[in-house]
Amino acid sequence: MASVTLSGIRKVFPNGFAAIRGLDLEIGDGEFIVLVGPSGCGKSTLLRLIAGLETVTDGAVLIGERDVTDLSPSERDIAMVFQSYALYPHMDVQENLAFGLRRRRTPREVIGERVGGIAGALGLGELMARRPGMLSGGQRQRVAIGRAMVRQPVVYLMDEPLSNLDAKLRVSMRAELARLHDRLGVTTVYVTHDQTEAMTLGDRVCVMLDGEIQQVDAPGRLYREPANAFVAGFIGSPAMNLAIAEVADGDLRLGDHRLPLTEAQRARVGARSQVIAGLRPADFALRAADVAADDGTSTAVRLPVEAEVVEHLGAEQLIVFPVDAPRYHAGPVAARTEDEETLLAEPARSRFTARLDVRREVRHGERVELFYDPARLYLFDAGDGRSLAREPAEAAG
Amino acid sequence: MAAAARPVRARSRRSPGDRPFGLSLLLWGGIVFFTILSAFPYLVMLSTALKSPQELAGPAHWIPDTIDLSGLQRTLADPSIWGYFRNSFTIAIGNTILVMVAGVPAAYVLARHEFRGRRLFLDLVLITQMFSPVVLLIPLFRLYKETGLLGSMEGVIIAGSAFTLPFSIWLLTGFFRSIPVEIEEAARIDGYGRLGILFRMILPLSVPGLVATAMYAFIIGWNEFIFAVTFLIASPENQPVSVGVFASIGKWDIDWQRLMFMALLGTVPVLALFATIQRQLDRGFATISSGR
Amino acid sequence: MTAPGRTAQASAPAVGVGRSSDRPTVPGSVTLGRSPRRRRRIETAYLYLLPAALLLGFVFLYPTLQSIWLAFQKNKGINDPGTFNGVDNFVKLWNDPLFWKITGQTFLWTIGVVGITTVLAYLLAIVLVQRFRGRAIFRTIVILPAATSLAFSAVVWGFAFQPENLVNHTLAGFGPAKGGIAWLANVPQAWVALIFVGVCVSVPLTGVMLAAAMRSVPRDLYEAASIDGASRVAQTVRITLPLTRTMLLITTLANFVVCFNSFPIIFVMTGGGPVNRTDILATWLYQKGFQLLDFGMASTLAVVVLCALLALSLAYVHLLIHRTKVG
Repeated sequence: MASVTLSGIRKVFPNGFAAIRGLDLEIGDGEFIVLVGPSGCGKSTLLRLIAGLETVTDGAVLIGERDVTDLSPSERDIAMVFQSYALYPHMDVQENLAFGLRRRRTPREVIGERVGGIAGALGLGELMARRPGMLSGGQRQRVAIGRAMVRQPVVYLMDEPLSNLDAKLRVSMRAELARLHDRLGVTTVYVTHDQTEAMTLGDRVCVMLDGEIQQVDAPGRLYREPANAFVAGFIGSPAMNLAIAEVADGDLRLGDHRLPLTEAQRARVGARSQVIAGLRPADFALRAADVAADDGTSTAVRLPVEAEVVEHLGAEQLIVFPVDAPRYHAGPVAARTEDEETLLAEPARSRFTARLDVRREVRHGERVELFYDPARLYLFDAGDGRSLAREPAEAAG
Repeated sequence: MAAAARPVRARSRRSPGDRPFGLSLLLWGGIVFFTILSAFPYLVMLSTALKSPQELAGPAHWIPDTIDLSGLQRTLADPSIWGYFRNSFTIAIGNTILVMVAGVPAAYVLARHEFRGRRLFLDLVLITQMFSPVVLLIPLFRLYKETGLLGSMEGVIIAGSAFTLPFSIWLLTGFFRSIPVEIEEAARIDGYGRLGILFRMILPLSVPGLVATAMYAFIIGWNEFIFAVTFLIASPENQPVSVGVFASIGKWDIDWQRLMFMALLGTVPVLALFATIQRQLDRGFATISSGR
Repeated sequence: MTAPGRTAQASAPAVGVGRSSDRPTVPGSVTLGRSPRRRRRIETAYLYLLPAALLLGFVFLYPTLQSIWLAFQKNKGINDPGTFNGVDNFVKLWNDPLFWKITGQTFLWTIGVVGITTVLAYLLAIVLVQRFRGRAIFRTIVILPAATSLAFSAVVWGFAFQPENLVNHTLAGFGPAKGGIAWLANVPQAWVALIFVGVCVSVPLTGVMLAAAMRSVPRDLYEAASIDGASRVAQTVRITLPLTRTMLLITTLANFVVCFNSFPIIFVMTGGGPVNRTDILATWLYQKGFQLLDFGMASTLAVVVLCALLALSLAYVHLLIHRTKVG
């Protein structure tokens, strides 16, 4: 087991594309770290650089105390699980598991023992003589993980290993991976584009965009204290509502709505005339009492809105309402997630989502009053998207 | 005819008779037309080979009055025939080996690796497609004379395989590309080098493609004519069937029956091979049009 | 806690570092653009190309250079050491009316064969993508000529085209064209026969390639088109043709090059006769080199043919690489 240290990593592909633009990251021994970000953000490239499947343009990769920058993948003592599993199609499960060990001149008995052990642990016993073509998706997944485990590496690298499974299987495999990590305690670097996976699996989550790290933090902190508007919009489902607000008389104006600021927020906004305002869907409520700040320092803000779309999800309901303020897009156009590109989009207007309980069902087209705690308002610089709250936890409680 | 230009799914629920009568007529007209066009030389071979010399000397007609196999007897009885076939086989096998030895590693790096000069190499390979063997005959003749390759089957094999190589590399590249890169990467992590990956992953996984390419090279080698007729003109003991057939039409009294049997025997084996690799060739062609 | 946005490259360790704040020192320099390992990997890539490069170099590169060298020589055959005579050969060729005549014949032959082949092959491809009883057998029969040695095809066709033989016999069956046409001995008829055979041997492969292209047209395009009310003719013109255009261009150009260089059919069937009137540049070149043993002139001709094709080849390479990204 070992830590992984990346320092000053840059990767420029021969075609001139800079996939990683200078990045430092230290992954602790035994840590489960998740690299997450929209497609093209460089997360897979970063994983492949750690694996040694790509060579860095600049910088160094250390595994434990060892500088592995110039070592081949096999010399790095890592194992990788691929999105497509990459099982050897012409070998049965037994051979797939043993293939890497055979190369290492591991004694035959040791191979048999280890392969047998792993097969038992993952429930592959009856599949040993089958080829990958005869296995189901879930079984292939197990074999791929088994092939990584049998090597007993110091670091596991996983490249979207669950994305080819159906939704139900994905949830159960996710839990299984978490258990496996708890038991083995091996350092794991895990790439995904699915923020739910990231939040549930990672000890820490590293959010990337355009070849740069946006924030590395524990999942809860990433959610509560996003470092910038991109992270804020990326982490959380449904996504945080983000729009550009004008600063007027010490408060914010968001279309027709006036959003009062707390003293602390006012101080952070300073002389800016515009900020990006963010509100999480879950921070809205239909009753003022539900959002009252714990310490009574702030009073709930009332927001009269018209429910354009109502989605009943059983235990909760999502309502979508228009806001007459420009939408904020985090990151470059290419990085926008699909759900941001709504049909019939109007750039000058935003649509906010509120997640509400179902004590009172809202009807389509109904005008309702929503409440939120002003301390829960996220503020970001309108220029570079940086969070204005250095310590928002304090304000939010 | 053009109206019917949509591919039909292999197992569509529509029955074959489910098309308008006019289109059916056109379709079957086309089928008959192309069948005749393609089969014509074989019909000529059969018709001629099976007629007796007397019947051949008379007015032309398709169906032999009597089946006369004396031509086959004369063909098989002629000891030089076996030499021709042995030489054709040697040249075909030599062509196959040389093409595979040179083509497989080249196609592998071209399919998988980006390196300086890759583009240049591919461009040069494409440019060789502009060459006709005729254009190179004189310098090759001189070169062979100096190196002692003139009159030998080796010389024919070398020249022929160089002309077979570009298309073979291109076929192989397509087959190698269809193997997922991740499998190679997994093998790299498992500790295999380029050579290990080639022999333990790529080659076992592309057996159908390798077989198809080898057969293609074999067919081209078997059908070799222009280099053989030029370089082996003074070495009849090394001539392949194609030259043997050609040489016998220059003679005063042509034994057409025997000649047609030779042509038949010289074609049928490769036709069988060709029919087997059709599917793989089709796949290769499909990759061009999909623009990979 | 992290700062968003740009990460300082080599200086600040602030961003993204979690548990420990002190960065490890990096042993050795890591800023080399290419590690020795990477360079080694590239060198082995060349090693893999070596056998192919040697073979192609031996058969194509060296002889081409020799051809160019010979083209500027007076050289009468294999034992002639040759004497340099500058551009004399080129001038002589330029002033030779036969050269221009044969060049014209070459284009007649090439354009005739390629044009007819393309049309017929497209029709064949349409037939090949249909479903009908006996399709597998049809596919096999139709592809046969592609697997047959051109030498055999030419010998057999040459035999069948003899005045008292099967071609005339078959034509006579259709009435007006009475037998007795000396196909290969007179000029317009000889070209008809040659082009006919040229077409016969090139249609199958072209048709199969076009059919492969047709098959790769996504089926739902046709379904969408029929929902839009397009007839089958309209579907062919509006969908099949544009989407197989690339393959059509590739096969047309490839056939052009092959026909321009074509040798065995004419060589075997007419030998260029009567009196050069069915020669094309390739057969004339052979005749000059190996019958008249004028290595110098033949090489000059070879260089001219190569240069002419090079112009075409550039177009060809452009099409293959830049339009379809082959390779």
